[in-house]
Amino acid sequence: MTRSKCQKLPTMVIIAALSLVATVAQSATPFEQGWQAYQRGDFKGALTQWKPLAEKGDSKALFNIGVMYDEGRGVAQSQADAIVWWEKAADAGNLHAKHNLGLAYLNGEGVGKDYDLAIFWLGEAASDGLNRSQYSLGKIYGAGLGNIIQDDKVSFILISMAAKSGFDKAQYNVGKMYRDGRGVAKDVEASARWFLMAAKQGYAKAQRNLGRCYMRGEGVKRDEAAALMWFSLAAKGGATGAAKNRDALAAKLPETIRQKVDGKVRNWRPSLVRQ
Amino acid sequence: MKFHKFVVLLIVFISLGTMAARASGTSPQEASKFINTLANHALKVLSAEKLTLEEREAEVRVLLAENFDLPRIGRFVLGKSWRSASNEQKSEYQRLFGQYVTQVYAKRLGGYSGESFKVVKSDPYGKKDALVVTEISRPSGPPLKAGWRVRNGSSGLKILDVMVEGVSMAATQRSEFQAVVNNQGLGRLLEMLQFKVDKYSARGA
Repeated sequence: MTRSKCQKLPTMVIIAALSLVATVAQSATPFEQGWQAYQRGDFKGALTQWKPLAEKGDSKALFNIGVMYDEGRGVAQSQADAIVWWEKAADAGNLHAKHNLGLAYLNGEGVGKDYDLAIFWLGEAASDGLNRSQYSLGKIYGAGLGNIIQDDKVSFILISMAAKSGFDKAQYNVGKMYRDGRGVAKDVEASARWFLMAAKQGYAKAQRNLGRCYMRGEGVKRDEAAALMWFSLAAKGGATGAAKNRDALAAKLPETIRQKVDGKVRNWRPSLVRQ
Repeated sequence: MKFHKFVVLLIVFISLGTMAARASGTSPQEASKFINTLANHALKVLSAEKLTLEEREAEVRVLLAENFDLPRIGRFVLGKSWRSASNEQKSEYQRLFGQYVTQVYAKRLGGYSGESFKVVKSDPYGKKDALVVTEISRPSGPPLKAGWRVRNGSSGLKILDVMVEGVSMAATQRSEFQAVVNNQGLGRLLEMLQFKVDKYSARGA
């Protein structure tokens, strides 16, 4: 290769790369262009892209427009209008719209409170595998809201489904249910295992409860250094009582262990944990 | 003579203003500076192009949690039910309330980027606070005006309330929450807050 050809090569590479970027940008679908506008905070631009799609029955566009009305992004906030868009999206099969509709009926936001409809929509989304809906429905059965007869066993089954898919809040709740023997036989080892899953994902209340497990040796081998680490992480995440537990425990432990734990806490990062 | 009268009135006016500011316990100038710094910080986060909207809003939530007096606002919003709540309920309520409020405000602010922001005025508000009125100019739509009630408390300057169109957001939330507590109890309010923060937001795929 000659010297001049070598000099031209980087320029050609840059031009080719720029062309590729331009092609990718051009090839973005109207939905993706709407999403890019939304990410920039150009909500009117997002609406311009999504409204024609929604009119053709695109469930994702219908859902997102509903969210924009619910949150007042690019439009005047109106929960009643959000419901209209979510109902269309739900009819087109959108699971997230079904979930939000369920919660809207549950709280009476934009619609009259209607527990039957709340349970209907959450049930639809839960049966199609949406973990937040499984969890919400589980909480409804646990509390016995509306016409639902309070049933801890059903509550446990639903919350477990959400927990197994990796929903941290559900994992924490399953941990509590095993600990208290609510809806399931008491099992402190299973409880600690579920707290650990949620704790590893960074759920502060689970970190605090896991710290208690290690401190008391409940369901796990007693380990005060591990307890201190989980209390410290829980305190950073704002879990009630964690800072008090951390300080009380730290005061009892030698400096070397405290320093080791501090290092672990500094380097700790959450990770996704499914069963 | 007229000139002297004018000077006397001016002195009286300035003195009254200073006295009011001292009596408030929160200097309007300091409150104005506080809001200005906070808003510029928030706008800087919101215009960070490398972050997704969700990530930008998550950063704003942290900023809001640091600068709002959430425990005090939470107690005010719950009203007299606060006293009868158990310690566990209080703690759960404060956790959910903080999560809910920062989520709502972060989403309301989330779309702003590159807009010009200015403090219109800052005056004493009641005996202890200052009210900072701000205006955000937007490329489309009328400017957004808001009043920020600031108090200089034991942990420094904190926001106690936001007034939009003269309506106190804390008072609005208080009547909404108290209606739930009066009709269905505190437990139901806690569940409602939990469900509110579990809603799905817009999705890209």
